Amino acid sequence: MNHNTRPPDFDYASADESELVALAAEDKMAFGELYQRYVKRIYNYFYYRMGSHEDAEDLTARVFIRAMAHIENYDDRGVPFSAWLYRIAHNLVANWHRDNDRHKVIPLDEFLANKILTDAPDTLTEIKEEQELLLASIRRLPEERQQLIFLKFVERMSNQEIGEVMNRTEGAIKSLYHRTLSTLHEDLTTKGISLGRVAEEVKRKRRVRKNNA
Amino acid sequence: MNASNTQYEILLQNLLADHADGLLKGVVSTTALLTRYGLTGDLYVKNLIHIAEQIQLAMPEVEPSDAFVAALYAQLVGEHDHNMFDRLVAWRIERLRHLPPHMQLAAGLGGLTLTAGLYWIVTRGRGVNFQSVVKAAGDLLPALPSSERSA
Repeated sequence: MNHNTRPPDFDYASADESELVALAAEDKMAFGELYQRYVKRIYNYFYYRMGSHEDAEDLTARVFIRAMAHIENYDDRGVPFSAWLYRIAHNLVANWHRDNDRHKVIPLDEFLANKILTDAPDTLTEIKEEQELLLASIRRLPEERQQLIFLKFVERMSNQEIGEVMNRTEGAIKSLYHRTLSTLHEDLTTKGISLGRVAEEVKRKRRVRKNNA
Repeated sequence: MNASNTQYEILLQNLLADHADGLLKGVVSTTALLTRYGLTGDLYVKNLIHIAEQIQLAMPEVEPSDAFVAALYAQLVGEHDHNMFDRLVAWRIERLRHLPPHMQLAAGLGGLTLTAGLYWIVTRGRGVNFQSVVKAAGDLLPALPSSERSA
């Protein structure tokens, strides 16, 4: 019996994820809907892991092609579809580093506006440089810690959700998060990088201007 | 590690987890949090909190280009429409712009040949076996970036 049948007027856009996954092995439109739901998230993952739009595009394409080729092997028990995709993505990054032996840090080729408003282009540049140093430090972390930072700050996942993706307990994720921040602190201190210095200076000047007005 | 170290460690882990949750919801008060955990004078924890706040500022969500998203969708789903080739070409041209001029010609010729190949594979008819399209695309796609990088 085929469990993956659907009516002719099936609405992919409003379908449950589990329905789409069940259909996707034989129905390319169902896979297309899953793709549309996750392409941006997977792209962000690679963008922050690799530091360039080109690499993010290449690896995003590979994740979905691989997922499509193997979706019949995906087992829904306990692991969300997103976690399965992130595991594919994680393996691709590991393979990419192994094959290319490229651990060097690539500066982000484009940086979206940060949240600190300033009217001085020089100040903006300095803030951007500080942020690039921080991102470079993040990319020096071991793979799993980079993944944790991404899932927490870009994906905005809870520790429990991160645990599902990384196959760890919630407590283990809490501990890993602490150790990750601690490692970053050590790395930045060793390199004499003081984060937020420029932003603090901007705030201080604004306070002075406001008080003088 | 002795008992008090372990207690401090757990306290710290909980504080940092609460801080991150609040930060992502936009409702965190660092001072109140430090007071609640009895760690107001702890410079180490303040430094870690500061780093977490800087990470949040440094990692805004980014958007893939529409051309890329559309081209990959077409490749995966085998969408049969007359605009698909245009979108695939637009995506390849956009990528060529990021390469140095001396690489653009070689990469362009290679890329467009492959794009045409992909288009042919995807559009050669509804009778084509779906799995073979996926497999063929999977075999071809990894060749695109590496040909550009080494051009």
